[in-house]
Amino acid sequence: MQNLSSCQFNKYFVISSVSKACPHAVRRRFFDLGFTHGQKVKKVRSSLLGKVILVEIRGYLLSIRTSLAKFLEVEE
Amino acid sequence: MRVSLIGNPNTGKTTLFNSLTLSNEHVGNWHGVTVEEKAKKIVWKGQEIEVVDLPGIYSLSRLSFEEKVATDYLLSHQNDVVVNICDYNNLERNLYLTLGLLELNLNVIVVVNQIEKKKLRKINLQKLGARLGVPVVAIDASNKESVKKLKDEILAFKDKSSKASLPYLKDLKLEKVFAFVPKHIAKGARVFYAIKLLEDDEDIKQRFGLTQDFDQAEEVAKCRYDYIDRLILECADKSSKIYGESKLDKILLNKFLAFPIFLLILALVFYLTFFSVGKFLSDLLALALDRFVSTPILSWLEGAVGSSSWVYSLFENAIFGGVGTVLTFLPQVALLFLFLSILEDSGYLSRVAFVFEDILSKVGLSGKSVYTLLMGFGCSTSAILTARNMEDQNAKIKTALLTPYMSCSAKFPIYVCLGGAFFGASNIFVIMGLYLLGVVVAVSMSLIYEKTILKSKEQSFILEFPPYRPIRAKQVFKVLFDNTKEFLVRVGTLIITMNVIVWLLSSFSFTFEFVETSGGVSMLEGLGKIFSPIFAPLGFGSWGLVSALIAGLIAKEVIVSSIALFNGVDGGQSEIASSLHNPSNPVYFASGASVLSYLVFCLLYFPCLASVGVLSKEIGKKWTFIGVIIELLVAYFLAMMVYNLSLLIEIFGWWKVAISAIGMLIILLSICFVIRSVKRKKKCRGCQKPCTKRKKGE
Repeated sequence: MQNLSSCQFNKYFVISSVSKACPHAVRRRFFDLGFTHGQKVKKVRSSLLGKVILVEIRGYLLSIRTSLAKFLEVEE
Repeated sequence: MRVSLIGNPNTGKTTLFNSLTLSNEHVGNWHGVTVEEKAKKIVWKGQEIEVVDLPGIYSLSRLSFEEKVATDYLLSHQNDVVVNICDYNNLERNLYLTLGLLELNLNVIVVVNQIEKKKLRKINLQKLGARLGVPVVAIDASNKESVKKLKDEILAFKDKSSKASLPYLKDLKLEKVFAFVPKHIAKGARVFYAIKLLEDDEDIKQRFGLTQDFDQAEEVAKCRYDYIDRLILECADKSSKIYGESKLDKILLNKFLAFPIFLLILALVFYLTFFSVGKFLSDLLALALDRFVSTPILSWLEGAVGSSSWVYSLFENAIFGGVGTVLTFLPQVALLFLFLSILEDSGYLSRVAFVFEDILSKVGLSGKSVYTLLMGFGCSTSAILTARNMEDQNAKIKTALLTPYMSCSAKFPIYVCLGGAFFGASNIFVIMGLYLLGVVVAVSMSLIYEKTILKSKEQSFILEFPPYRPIRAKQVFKVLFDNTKEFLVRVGTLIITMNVIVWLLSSFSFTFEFVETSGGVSMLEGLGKIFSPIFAPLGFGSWGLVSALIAGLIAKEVIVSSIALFNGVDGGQSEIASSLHNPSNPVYFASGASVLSYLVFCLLYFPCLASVGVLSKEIGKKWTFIGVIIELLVAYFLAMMVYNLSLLIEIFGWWKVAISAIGMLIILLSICFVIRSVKRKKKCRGCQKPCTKRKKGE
């Protein structure tokens, strides 16, 4: 199983789920922001040390800490 | 009637609030500029309307501070109309909140605001409105005509109740959950609470006394978004364009260019503000003030009351000398605020937060702190308020406590007047150094706080990237005008009052005799002399400097104006500069070393009284007290260090000091190295196996 922090850049993936290991509040925030099952998502870039990534989802851009992005499970 | 404005962050709610109510609240291209509700009453066509601006939120989840404020407001107040603002170019995610509002059975008007001129795709809003069952209105929140139309729409809508259709609700099987919603909940709100239970909302489960997990948060979000996808498919063109995407990011977010570019932009801002354009305007203003205001009035006064009277002294020293000098910095302060607001409005700050997240997360801050800290260059008091939207309490306290270390615009006159007197043209480096020192101290203090008393939790850094927005001329004028006005009001009230008080205390003795004629010791001189021995190790023991520091507790501008006052200066910066070299004056610096030390102390010692007030409101009395004490200590020791170091340099020259410093550093590093290797050896003995790491190294 891949997640958004380990997957390839500039390639579309599909969200399979938001891990239950993710803190409850953050998990709900991810749902609010549109990270739902089957949603197309793309990792656009990361910061110099890779602590944050920039993600494209539902037609807008969002930066997320890599430590949280690992809870976003994706498939090709 | 009451109308509440609600919507996602950075969709133009406050812009709309301002145009609806003709107010002047602060807006910016950054999420969460509005942190608490603001209300204002207007009258439109004979009907009184109370307009309420709520903070921007993504859903009614009560997970963040803003969501708590907004959701609680909607739940606890009677709202006749809820105006839900959506961004035209980011409609999908915006509609998610709309569905939440409709689930709560509110009287919603969906207002689609077009912030960008360019539409990413065509949307048939009428069709969308028909599908949703609520009015959908397109507006431009900064356009007057458009806002008038909206007011009519609101009036026309208030008596109708919305008939929203939410077909996805039947997929959620709410009937099973209704049993858990207590009977006293009104019929209209039952759907909302049932869905909150499905989402496992801790607050609401606790309130209803429930413990079981429903674990349907994912399904709820999916149902809503699937419905939105269907709506968008029916009502809008297909588009592959991304909201907020820009080619500029390729350069500005480039891994290796991002930092240099940011530093270059900051350097340019400071150069333009303080040296080129700003300095020119400030000199011009000084000349004009002297020629047309102070000289004519003083010569008239001299004729009327004589130059030895206390009235003359009041005007000469307290008003023209002190306040006049502060006033000449108006162009620079206004320019600085203008540049900060341009940075804020352009959308660049979200990128800066992204770039700095790496470093700042290491010292226990978040990329979001960048916004607060940068605003601290303008005014700490208003900057501290922006720390409120940080998720983690400890990170918020830290950010708020670090903001006063950033050199605010009120400290700049001190650097110019005092530094200019001793360092001449190279003062530019002194000033740059002071700004840098403030940042370095802030970052190091954050690390110390993080390792000791204020450890921050793993923060959920999730930040939206808004599109870059061009700067509008209207906005530039507005910012310049507002800040000029604010500065003039501040000088005209607080600074002038403080200066008159300082003048009173420094011109009259404890027996209320006018010192200049009687030759006694003034109250401030007596007081300053009690405290001055404390500051002798820092190189500035004169009572005037110490009294100026005490006066500066109220507002930093007063430091310069008090110095001008004590030295009996009645004209601009150059006159202050020359008076500082005269040993017989109350304010006198023996050497450049003591000036440096004084500047460092001024930079760090105490946030102004207004900031302390805001701090204690935002983070509590305890942390404010601790923070202020630490600040005083840091200021004292750093100033002492700077003083002694620059004294050494003055005596021995750069070379010798640099060489011995490097020597000491080498000795220190080798000691550290020895300690570390000793520790490592101990570990290896403990594991009793051949250490793999060591073998690789050999």
